[in-house]
Amino acid sequence: MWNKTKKDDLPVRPEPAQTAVPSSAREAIPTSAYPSRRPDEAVKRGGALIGKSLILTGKISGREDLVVDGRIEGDVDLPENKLTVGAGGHVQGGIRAREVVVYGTVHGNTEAVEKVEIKRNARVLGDMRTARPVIEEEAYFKGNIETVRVEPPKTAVQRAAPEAPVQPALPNSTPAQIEPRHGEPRKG
Amino acid sequence: MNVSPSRAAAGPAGAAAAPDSRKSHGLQALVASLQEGRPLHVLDFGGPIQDNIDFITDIVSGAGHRLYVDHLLRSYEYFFSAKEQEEGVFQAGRIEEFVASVMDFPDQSADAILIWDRLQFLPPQIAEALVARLHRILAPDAFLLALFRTDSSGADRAPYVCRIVDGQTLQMHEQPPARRMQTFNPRTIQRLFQSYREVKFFVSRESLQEVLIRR
Repeated sequence: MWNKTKKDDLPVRPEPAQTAVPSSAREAIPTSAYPSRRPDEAVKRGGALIGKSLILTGKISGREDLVVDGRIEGDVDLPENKLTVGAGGHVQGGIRAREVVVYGTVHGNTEAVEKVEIKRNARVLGDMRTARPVIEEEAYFKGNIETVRVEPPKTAVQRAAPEAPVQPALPNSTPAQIEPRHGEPRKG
Repeated sequence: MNVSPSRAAAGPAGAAAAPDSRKSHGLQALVASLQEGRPLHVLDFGGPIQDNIDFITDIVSGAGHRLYVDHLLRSYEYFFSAKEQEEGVFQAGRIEEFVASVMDFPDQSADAILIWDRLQFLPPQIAEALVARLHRILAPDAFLLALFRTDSSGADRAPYVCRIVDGQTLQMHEQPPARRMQTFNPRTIQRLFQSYREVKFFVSRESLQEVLIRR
């Protein structure tokens, strides 16, 4: 335990729940052990990556950021996190997340508390509900856009309070709520 | 809502000309019809334009309407084969399928429709089928805004990107690629929209006609 004393001197700082590789563990690995290619965004952000060759069928839910370069056939539910659909990524199903960025293809409805961003060359078919819809003009988008008012998630408020004890994310924490601004639109 | 000049000028790569701002009486009337203090359903077939999305859906300005967006010309190109498009021969069943795929809305459910100049870049039989469908889905007394170029008969032209600057101003520029443009004059436009209650023409600059159609 050559660095035990040094570690004990450090203040105790709980790791975020979504961190896949703790920073202390990364420090212990020599730099040369990393692959030489540029790290993926998901790894950099401490989230998860669904690689190009992967095809997943079924619902995905969780509390960490996710980058999809492969194909998902099913709903994605990440109410407190960011979903990025990479240029080669494909999601066939509904999406609920804090933030959604699409470079690839999405067939399904998207709901994001903060922002949905559809980049040029992306292809999105489905309705969108979010506080901030951002669509680049070269993107192909077909669907309804509804801007919604954001109610801050309870869990975020708790974490921000200075006196509150630092705790890992609760398993049953309430997801962010989004409410329509003026109620439901007229039905045909 | 205003658009900063730098943002407005920063069109997509390959844009041919600088955007041109112009007053739009048709847009003004259509926007006025949306001031009902309740969320309405607006259909925009010009494709996703951020300023238009912000203007219509913005909850800060109080509009907060639900906006359906589709790029009608790209949907047409996705749907029909290259051979169909080249030969201009479309089976009735295929046209019906296409219309159903791009305008799958309940009858009288749309409170306003922005179709810009898109009808002029579609084959006549498809444009006619779409106009008939629009008549069904538009609510009574609701408006449809269309643009027609009366010059360049039969020439290939690039469709306009129409950016809503405010409730009465449009910023427009042609966006390549150029496409085959059908010829329309006031008489053929009247005939196209003959099932509608009212067709009002606003002559604009550069032989561009704004047409405001009331259901």
